[in-house]
Amino acid sequence: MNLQLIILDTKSMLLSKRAIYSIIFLAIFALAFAAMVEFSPEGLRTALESAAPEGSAGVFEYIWFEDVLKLLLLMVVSFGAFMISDLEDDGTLDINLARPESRANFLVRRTISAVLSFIIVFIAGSLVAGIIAWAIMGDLDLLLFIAHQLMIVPMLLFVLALTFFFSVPLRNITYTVLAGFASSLFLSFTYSFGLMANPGSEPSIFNPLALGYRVMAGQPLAEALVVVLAATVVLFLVGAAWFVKKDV
Amino acid sequence: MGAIDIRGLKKDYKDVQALRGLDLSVEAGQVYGFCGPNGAGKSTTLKILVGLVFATGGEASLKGIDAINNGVEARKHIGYLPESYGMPNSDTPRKFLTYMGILSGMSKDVVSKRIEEIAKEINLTDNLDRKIKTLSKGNKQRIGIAQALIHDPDILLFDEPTTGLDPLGRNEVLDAMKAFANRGKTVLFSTHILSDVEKICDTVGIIHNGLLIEQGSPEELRKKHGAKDLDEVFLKVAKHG
Amino acid sequence: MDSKVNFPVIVWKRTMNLIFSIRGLIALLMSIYMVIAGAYLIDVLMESSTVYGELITLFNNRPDMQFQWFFFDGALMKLVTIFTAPLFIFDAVSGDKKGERIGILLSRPITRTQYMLINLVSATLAFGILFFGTLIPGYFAIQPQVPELTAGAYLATCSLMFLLGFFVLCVALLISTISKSNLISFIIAFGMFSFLMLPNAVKYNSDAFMSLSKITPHYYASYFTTHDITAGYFVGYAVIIVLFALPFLALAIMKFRNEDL
Repeated sequence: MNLQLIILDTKSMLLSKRAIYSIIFLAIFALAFAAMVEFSPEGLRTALESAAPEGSAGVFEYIWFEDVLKLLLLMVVSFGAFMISDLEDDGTLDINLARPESRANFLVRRTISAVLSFIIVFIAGSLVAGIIAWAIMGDLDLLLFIAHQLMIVPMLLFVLALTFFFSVPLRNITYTVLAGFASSLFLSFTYSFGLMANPGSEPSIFNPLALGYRVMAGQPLAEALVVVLAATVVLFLVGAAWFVKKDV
Repeated sequence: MGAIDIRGLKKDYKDVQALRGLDLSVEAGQVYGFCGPNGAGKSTTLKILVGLVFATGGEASLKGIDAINNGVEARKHIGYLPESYGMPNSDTPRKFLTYMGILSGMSKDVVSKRIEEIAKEINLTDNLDRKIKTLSKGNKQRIGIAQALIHDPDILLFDEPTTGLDPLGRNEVLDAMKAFANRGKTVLFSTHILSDVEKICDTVGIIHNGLLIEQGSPEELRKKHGAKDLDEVFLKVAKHG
Repeated sequence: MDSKVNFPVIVWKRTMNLIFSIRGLIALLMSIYMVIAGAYLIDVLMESSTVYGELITLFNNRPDMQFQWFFFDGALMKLVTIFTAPLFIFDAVSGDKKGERIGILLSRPITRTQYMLINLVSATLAFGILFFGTLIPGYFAIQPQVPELTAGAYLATCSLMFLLGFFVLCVALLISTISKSNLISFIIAFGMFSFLMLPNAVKYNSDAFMSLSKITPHYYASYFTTHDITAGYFVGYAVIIVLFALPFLALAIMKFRNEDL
């Protein structure tokens, strides 16, 4: 495994527009949602607090995990597209694969860079968002917020693997992003609607996108986490086996 | 054993047989011109050698290394220039070539030196630190060639490298390939421009419908077909398939 | 030979290409899913024990409009509008540039303005066909669950939401014209529309947010989810939404007309 290439790829992803926009959007949404919670009229606050855990910080997290999740999905899909779709998009996939490196090795290297750069950007964005929300609301437990954010990383990596899986047959960055984003949105709506219909229930452990809700609502995580990790590994392995045998 | 050996190579797409048992051999130090009508199977052959497309049957080796089953080892010895390719437009050629060098197994220091050498050789020095998107087509093609040469491979596989270039650019590419062969290395390039073939090739192969139907030096082929140039040879051979 | 360009045929072909594509399928599935969710969920949500039911009641105390508010303004169809409309246009110009098709396209006897309008009209038609094609049958699925729902109010809000989609298309066309990358164009479009939704989502929180929401077209698109419908307001608000959209369209065309390709 060539460490220098992993560093170069990670660095170029960290400086990419998608990384910068991701952090900017997270900051803007943190500002907007924190202000919204802070200035909520009493009736709204009571209604939200009945659904969310512990005080206004809980309300903020509730809204954050419900609404900002959609943006997080788009963010992680764009990092998933980095693995092979980016190279197809700029036309350099074939000259990359013409090097003395096996496709399996190539994929592992690109995956490490995608995951690494995504986690760095996600943590940076979460920190910025958390600090903004804390500054506005005062009672937000910044450490707990960051801990919750870190706990949803496996769920986001599932979306990254899903996007990679779509990128193998679609061979087009636009369609890869659309398919990754739409399918993960579908999963997230499905658990949201399930919760609307059965308030207070636990979402199915077989919906990987419900992990964020479980984290926020303090529901048991172990089984859901195993399912998310297993689904992520299976998606990645099937996509990789497909890619390794595919004509470029 | 030749530098490039292909035996009975086959490639079937859904309803098209792109290669139907191609046999081809290129000796070390030769410049081999690979000609044929559109869709004859030239690009597919090169892509199989590089490992981008998987053969349905047959064998292919580069310097005696099985290019189909031991692609990683074989690719250490080749530089490849696709027919059409993109580049990271917001990067500089230096950054792009550094990346490609490391990807070919070189250390960063060695790549840096090598970039300077190649840039000098193919007149890219002044543009090494400009963004790729600001460069002309000729200069972009130079970068394409530089990425193929960066790791000093023994075999060059170029897919229509002179298409779309002005006469000056074409000559530069041809000179680079000839200079490469003069250093004992092997060049296999596909082209439609038969005057290019006549200028630099030791051997010409004409492929049609996935089979090699003619091979020899430009001189031999002209004599054999009683033709004044390779264009005439090509037309006669291609018409009779 | 008659060299006149047959624009209706071009627009129709492009519209069909958009509808019968992965993006068309995604938009269709998303709309159908939301209609089914709306029809199924409204009864459950209106039970007083659910937080969503409480929210709906809090924002809208008129039983005859609560479904309209939940379905169009609360989340479902507004999300469909801001997500599916850009699907049809976010890569219109950036994709043609990236795919190196733009030179060939513009070498035809059409002006750049016409090229932009072909993109916009096709995308609007594709969006409209899928939007109304899902929502009109959807009415017959939803109405038995919500007897208070009237066809007039439902259709009026559908139409204003469609115009909101037109606004989204115009902004996404501008983004596609400025951006060189389809991916960045998509990220900016979705992020921006999500952000534009915010003042409207929080308009009940304070008078300041309510004033702020009035400078977004979302406020006018969802007006009849909380107010009685009148012909005058309907036409007036339809015009206002289109007026919101036109400067973005003008900017996109101006930018593209003066651009070296």
